[in-house]
Amino acid sequence: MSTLKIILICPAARPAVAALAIKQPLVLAPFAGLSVMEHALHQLAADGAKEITILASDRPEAIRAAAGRGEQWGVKLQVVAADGEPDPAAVRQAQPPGAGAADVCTLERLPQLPDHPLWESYEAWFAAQVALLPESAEKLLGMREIAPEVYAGLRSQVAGDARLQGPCWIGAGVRIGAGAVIGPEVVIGDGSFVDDGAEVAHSVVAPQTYVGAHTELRHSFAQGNALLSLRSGSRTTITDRFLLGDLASGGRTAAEAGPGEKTGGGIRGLLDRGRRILRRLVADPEVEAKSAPADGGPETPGTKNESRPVDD
Amino acid sequence: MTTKLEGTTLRVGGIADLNATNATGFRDETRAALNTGTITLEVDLSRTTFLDSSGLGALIALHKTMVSRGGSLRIIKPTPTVLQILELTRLHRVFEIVET
Repeated sequence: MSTLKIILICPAARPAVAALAIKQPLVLAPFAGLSVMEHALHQLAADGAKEITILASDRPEAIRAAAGRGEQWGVKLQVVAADGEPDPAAVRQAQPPGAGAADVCTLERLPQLPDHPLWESYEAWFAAQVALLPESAEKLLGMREIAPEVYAGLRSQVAGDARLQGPCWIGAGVRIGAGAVIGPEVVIGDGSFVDDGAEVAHSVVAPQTYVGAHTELRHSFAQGNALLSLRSGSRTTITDRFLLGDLASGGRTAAEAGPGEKTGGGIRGLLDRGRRILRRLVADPEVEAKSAPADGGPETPGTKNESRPVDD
Repeated sequence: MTTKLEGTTLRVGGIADLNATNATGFRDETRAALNTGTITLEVDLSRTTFLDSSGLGALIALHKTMVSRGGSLRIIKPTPTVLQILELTRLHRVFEIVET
């Protein structure tokens, strides 16, 4: 980077990864513990940028709220709403000649990952964030490597018999239930809860997402109750909250729930019932779903397993 | 919902949604269409865009019915969204799935 001023152009829409932009602008989609925008700002600031102007046409107010004024990165930052995605060449041409000109960057790739296009496909987006995990762990306060290529954040709790296989990322305040199998190539966002016996591999779980007991996520992106296949691009909404759900709507994060609780608020009973139903279906497919009792019944032995905080 | 009996196979299709509203009816109608010689139940989910736990419960119940009479249940051409739900619940390991 040759100048202290940067103009950063955000992508407006990319058909190949359109589902990533449903709940947020593309650059704010969960990405290796942060967002693409945050990773880019980290790197630009580390490279010496002092003034950054972000040009955004898709939900600039959300980008403004996430970026603030740049204090977090020690830069002076402004977000300018654009009418359509600006053409980088035109923006460069509009720069004054000489030392006052800003460098114009796009967010097709992260500066720290020049070999990884971000928006060509869901799998490319996923591969890029897996590649960034080690660097992201060094950058983020509180992340530590608890096993080879397994990074865990503050206040995360992993059940004693859960199996973790790197590379994987367990964000701050995440809970991993008894007997869960996590990895390889998994990113679990802050405050999420992967319940007992669930298996997650080659997938991203967005922050504040509940992954139900005994479910299986592979080559998927789960964000709240939305489930996206990274391979086919198929997206569906899961209406059964015991399978997949949004913890933010439950009121509290997984880490904030007490030791005997599975998640906050009114969804606890629903989740417990769901766990029993799914456990029966998977263990004994001859049992009808409707036969599962609405209340009572024993907990799985695994739920009594002691969790181990990973940051003590 | 459509049902078609061909030899020892009963094929059920034309299902747009399989949820709490219609799962019980789907299960009961399908059971009623089985005859003593039916060995294979094929559930065509190629037009199904929504499936929830009630729908899964109905499929499991039919699977149980078929196994108890020495037969089997096949899921035919599930849509990508249905396949996602079957995989999420691991039922793709329980049902025989014919994708093409």
